[in-house]
Amino acid sequence: MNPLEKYQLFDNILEGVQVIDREWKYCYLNSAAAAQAQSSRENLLGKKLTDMYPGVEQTAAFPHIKKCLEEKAGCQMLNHFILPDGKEGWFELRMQSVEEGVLILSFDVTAQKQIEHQLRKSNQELEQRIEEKTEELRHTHNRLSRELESRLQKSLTETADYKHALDESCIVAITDQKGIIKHVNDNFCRISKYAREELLGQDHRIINSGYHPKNFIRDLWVTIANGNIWRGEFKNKAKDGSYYWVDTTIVPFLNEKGKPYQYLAIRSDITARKKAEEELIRVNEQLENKVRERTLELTLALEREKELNDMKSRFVSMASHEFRTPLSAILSSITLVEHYTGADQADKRAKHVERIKASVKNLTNILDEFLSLEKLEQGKVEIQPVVFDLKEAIEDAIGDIDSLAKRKGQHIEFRCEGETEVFQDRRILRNVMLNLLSNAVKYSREEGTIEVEAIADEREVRIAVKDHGIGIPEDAQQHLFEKFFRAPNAINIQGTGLGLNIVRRYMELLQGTITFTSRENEGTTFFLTIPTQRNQTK
Amino acid sequence: MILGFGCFYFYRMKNRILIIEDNEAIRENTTELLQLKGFQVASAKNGADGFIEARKFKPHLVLCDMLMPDSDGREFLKMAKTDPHVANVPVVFFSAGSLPRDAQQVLIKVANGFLKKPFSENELLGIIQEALHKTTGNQPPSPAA
Repeated sequence: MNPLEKYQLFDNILEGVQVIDREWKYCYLNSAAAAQAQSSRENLLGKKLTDMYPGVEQTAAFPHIKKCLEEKAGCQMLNHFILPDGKEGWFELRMQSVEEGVLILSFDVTAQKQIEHQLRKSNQELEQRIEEKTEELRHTHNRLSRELESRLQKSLTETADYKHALDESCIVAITDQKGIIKHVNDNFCRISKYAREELLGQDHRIINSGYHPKNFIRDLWVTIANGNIWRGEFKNKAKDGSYYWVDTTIVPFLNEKGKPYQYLAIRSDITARKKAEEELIRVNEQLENKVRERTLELTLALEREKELNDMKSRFVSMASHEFRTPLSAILSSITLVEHYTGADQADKRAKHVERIKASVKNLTNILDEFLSLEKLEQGKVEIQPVVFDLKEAIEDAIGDIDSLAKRKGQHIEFRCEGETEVFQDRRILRNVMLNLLSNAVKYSREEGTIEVEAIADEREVRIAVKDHGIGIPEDAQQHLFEKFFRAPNAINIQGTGLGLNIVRRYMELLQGTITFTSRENEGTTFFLTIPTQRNQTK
Repeated sequence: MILGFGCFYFYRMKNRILIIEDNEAIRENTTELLQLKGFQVASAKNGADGFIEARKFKPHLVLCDMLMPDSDGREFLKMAKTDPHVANVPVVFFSAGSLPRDAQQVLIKVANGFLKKPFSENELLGIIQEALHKTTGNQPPSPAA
């Protein structure tokens, strides 16, 4: 049968069918196969395969075809060759031996293969790219790793530097949350005088000085246990018992729950400053005390000066009074003398002349008092001791005062005991006695008694002058011997305020003493003690 | 003000003067002088005695010293106020010292005159006249030339 007819069934199928006879001629092929061969049926039918496709012997299919032709062995294979137009083609071939020769079923899988190829290529590309990318990543990873490493290193170095700076400049301690010492730097050991081994593992209280009150410590713990920084000044005790002050900052380190797990204490030594502060306070107190003292002194001095000024004013007005009174008497007596011109009025004139004289004497006495005070103050009074009879001297003085006393109805009594021959300054004794006696008379009421007592022994003379007059008020007594002083109850009575001051100075000059006792409205007694030893000279 | 020299007229009605002065010489001399001039004079040593004497003597004028022991011029004034007869009698004060300002103020209002020691005869008589003159509106003793 004609192959064309035989195989007619295959004419329109999609797969290529070709029959190659033993002469290598195309005895049948369908349009599909012709298309695959990039030719036509007419072109190829009856032609030799080898003629149509030179180089076909080199193809992979050739031996198979040959084998099938010769041995009638069928096979299947994938044939890959270059098409006439140069492109690559892939065909899935099924060969079977047929009567004429070999029947080859060919299915164009070029597209598939191309896709496969493309896929594979893509895959490869992808893999390559992945590889590249991976490499890139690895590279980057390495770079980052190194950078991280170097940054970490830098950070660690910086931290180490900080730590070093801290350790060098401050006193550093780290305790756990219970206050047990975990770490101390050298400065800590140095200032606390403990060795590191003695501190690690110890409770921080080891350096407690007991200076701070309990609530101070309690506040500190409350602050830091709550995660807050505490700042303050602390007094601590070193191993040898000495004390040191530190400016302290305690920083709590918090864990992930926000609770402190350790405390870092940074301190600096302020002992010197504290000592200086204490010193300053002490000096300040001293100064304030001094200032207080001085102020008191000044205040007292000012008061005293004011007192003195007041007394001087009073003295001036009193002195004015003292002068005007006798001057008044003199003027009035003179006026009367002018009136008594008659011969029968001689006695009246005489009376007034006496009165004038007495007033002049009065004035003179007052002047003398002023002057003798001046002399005493200038140290110009010389003691002139003589031997005299004490009893006589006192009686003389009493005699001078007597008329004054009698005028007031007063009576002076005198008692004397002992060996009355003495060696002393008679004038001074007289002046003293006159002064005390005239005071006794002046400050006593009418009809009183004044008692004078004198006791003499070998060493000294003791004299007492006692009156029952107005007395000296208690708070005036301490001022009695002061210059210009007049007791409040004596202001209306004539007096200069100088008499007792003069008397005391005289007594000092004689190396004697004067004291008194007195009660207001009851009277006063003055006590004199005068040394009178024969061989006592000044 | 000094109104006259030498002697002057007086009215029998007004010639009693009380002197209150603690200094004996001044008291006696002044008494003597005024008696020579025709006055009737009584005297006392202090304010309290002066008051007693004033009630008895009923003076037309009181001459009173300021500073005296026991009771002074001020005391006398206080006591004088208690008796209307005495309270109306003119008072001339004399003083040997300067008085504290507050006392001066009081006395200027109350006193009928001031005399400063030592005072002359004319000063004394002049101020007495003035004081007596002031109290009687229509019968002044006329001064002599």
